[in-house]
Amino acid sequence: MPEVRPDEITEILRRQLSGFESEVDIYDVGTVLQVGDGIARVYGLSKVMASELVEFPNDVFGMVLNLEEDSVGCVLFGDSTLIKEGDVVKRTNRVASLPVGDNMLGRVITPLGVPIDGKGPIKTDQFLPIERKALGVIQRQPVKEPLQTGIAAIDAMIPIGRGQRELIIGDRQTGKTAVAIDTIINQKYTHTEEAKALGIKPVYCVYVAIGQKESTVAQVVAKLEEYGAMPYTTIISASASDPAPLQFIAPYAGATLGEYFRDSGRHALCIYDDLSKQAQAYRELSLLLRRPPGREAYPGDVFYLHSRLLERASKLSEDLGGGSLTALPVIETQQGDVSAYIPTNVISITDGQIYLESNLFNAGVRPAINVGISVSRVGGNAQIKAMKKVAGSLKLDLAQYRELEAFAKFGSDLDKATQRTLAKGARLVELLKQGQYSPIPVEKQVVSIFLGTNGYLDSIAVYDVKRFEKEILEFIEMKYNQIFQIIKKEKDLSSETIELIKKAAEEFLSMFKKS
Amino acid sequence: MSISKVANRYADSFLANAIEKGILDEITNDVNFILNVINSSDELQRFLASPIIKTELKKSILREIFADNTSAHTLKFLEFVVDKKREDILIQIFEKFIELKDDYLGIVRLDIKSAFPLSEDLKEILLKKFESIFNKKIEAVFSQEDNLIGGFLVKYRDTVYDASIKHQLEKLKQNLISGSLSLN
Repeated sequence: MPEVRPDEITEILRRQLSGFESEVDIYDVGTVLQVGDGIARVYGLSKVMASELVEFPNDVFGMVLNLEEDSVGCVLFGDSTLIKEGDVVKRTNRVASLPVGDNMLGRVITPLGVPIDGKGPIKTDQFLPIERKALGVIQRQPVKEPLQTGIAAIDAMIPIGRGQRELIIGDRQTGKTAVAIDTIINQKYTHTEEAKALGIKPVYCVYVAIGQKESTVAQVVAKLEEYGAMPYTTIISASASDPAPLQFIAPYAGATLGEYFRDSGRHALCIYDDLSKQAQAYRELSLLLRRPPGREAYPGDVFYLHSRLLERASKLSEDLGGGSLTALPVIETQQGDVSAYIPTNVISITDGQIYLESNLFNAGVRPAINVGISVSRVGGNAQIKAMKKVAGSLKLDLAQYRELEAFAKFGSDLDKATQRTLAKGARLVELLKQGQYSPIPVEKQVVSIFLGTNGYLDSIAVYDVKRFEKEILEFIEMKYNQIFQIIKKEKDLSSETIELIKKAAEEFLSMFKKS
Repeated sequence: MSISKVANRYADSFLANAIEKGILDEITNDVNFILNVINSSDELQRFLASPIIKTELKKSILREIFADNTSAHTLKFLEFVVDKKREDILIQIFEKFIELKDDYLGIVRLDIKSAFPLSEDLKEILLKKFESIFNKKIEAVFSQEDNLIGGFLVKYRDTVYDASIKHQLEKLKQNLISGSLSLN
């Protein structure tokens, strides 16, 4: 058995203590007047700043939200039962902030930066305030690079650019989180050497889980680890059992971490899942702080709550390094009601929305995106040319299909043209179906959408479409791999490439075995 | 209106009045005396706070208690406060008065706590030091608090100058916890 000499221990202790200086500490204090429901009213603290972090006994921290004439209203980030009336509150002299750094990647943290994944402390040397002002006009430039989600329906028709704010909205159980997770998984490609050679910059991801079950968060972590997406992702979790103040600040903490990447000239993607829960948490603490309630009992500044968060998404000008922060907020609707207070607010703030519907989901269209009412207001500029070319006719074909869809039940009573439109539409819808955790690279999306819109699927039965797509993509990859390479490199669809795709498609059609 | 706001208003006008009449010292003594009396008697506090007792009765009782030891001016102010039915916040008014008076005279009132009674020499040194920090006249109340273990703690309004062993031990504990991994 190894032996430890007592004088060695003494030496270690002495070394530790030698760095400890005992000086007079000067700090400001206040006294707790009233405490309860995660709120404390404090007398004193006369010089405290708004949104400053204050320290209560028993290692409970709080944040100052209300500055009143003779008292200060604080929200507590810990258990309010640990605090008693008359306790001493200390100022910390810093506004609520988050430690940031590259070491945050691959970790699960609380909104205050404390790791909760059991992988030990995180070494960072920089703190950034949680609430930061969004950038102005001068510092920005229009969105111009695509952020590939790997979901064909989105990348083709509702493209998202780096620096955009795109809302994911839908009822419960419609696959909102799935869209977000797939997007994170698809960013794995941007971290490869191949992407670097093609000039695609890596995207770092931040997933903010607000008011979710711990089990759901654990599931997300497990999935991201399984698909190798954790090394470039940070998860910020304020679960349903955390106090409302933590849920309230969680998205701001996520934005701060995203901004750290953005400001160092890199690209970040921030997913806020979901903002309806954050609004509810904010409503709870606003009411407890006795701020007057407004519509649906939300406080008057609930619009500002989300607008100041989403305004922080941005694409920096080249002078500032050209970094970007893309925001994908998630909103859960009740019974498809998009005209409720919070959904309308966030729809009006964002640059477009991806609308997920439960009846589509139940009909087997997954991802259950309603492409008719989903839009992206700025992403079109960022789409690669090849995709732009094929997506134009896709949108048109699907719009015509939706118009005639009601007639589909009349079947053979319809004229030839209508029947053709319906058949094509049904195949396109089938083509856009996609499994979870299986993002498709953009060059493959381009080829399969090209095949769909140019009538190569017309002779294939609807139930065979997915198999046909899979097999032809494999066929092209093996025999005509140059097609993918050209699209990747040139990002455009030249007439020669089109000829090549047509040739490959005809060759494969003759071999395809219908089931 | 909040209590502190009301107390501030009464105290402010009482102070202004005292300064105008040039009887600030006298009034200050009265106020300290009355505060002492009220703080030492629970019964008197309950009496002041009670809404059942009639204004006239309150006035006559207060007159009886304080007439011999305080100036006519202070007595008049007491009656005025009772007339306005603000006698329940009399303590706050007088505390605010002391605070405003200190500001006016440029006095810093310190609350100094120590684990052991300080010797006169030590008190002298301490007061000198704080005089140089604040650049103002210092008035201090010394008291003993055992749980400080050692050292002293000075409180000026919301600011604390903490040189107690208790605080240092707490800091040391924090240091050891956060630095515990560097031991290995």
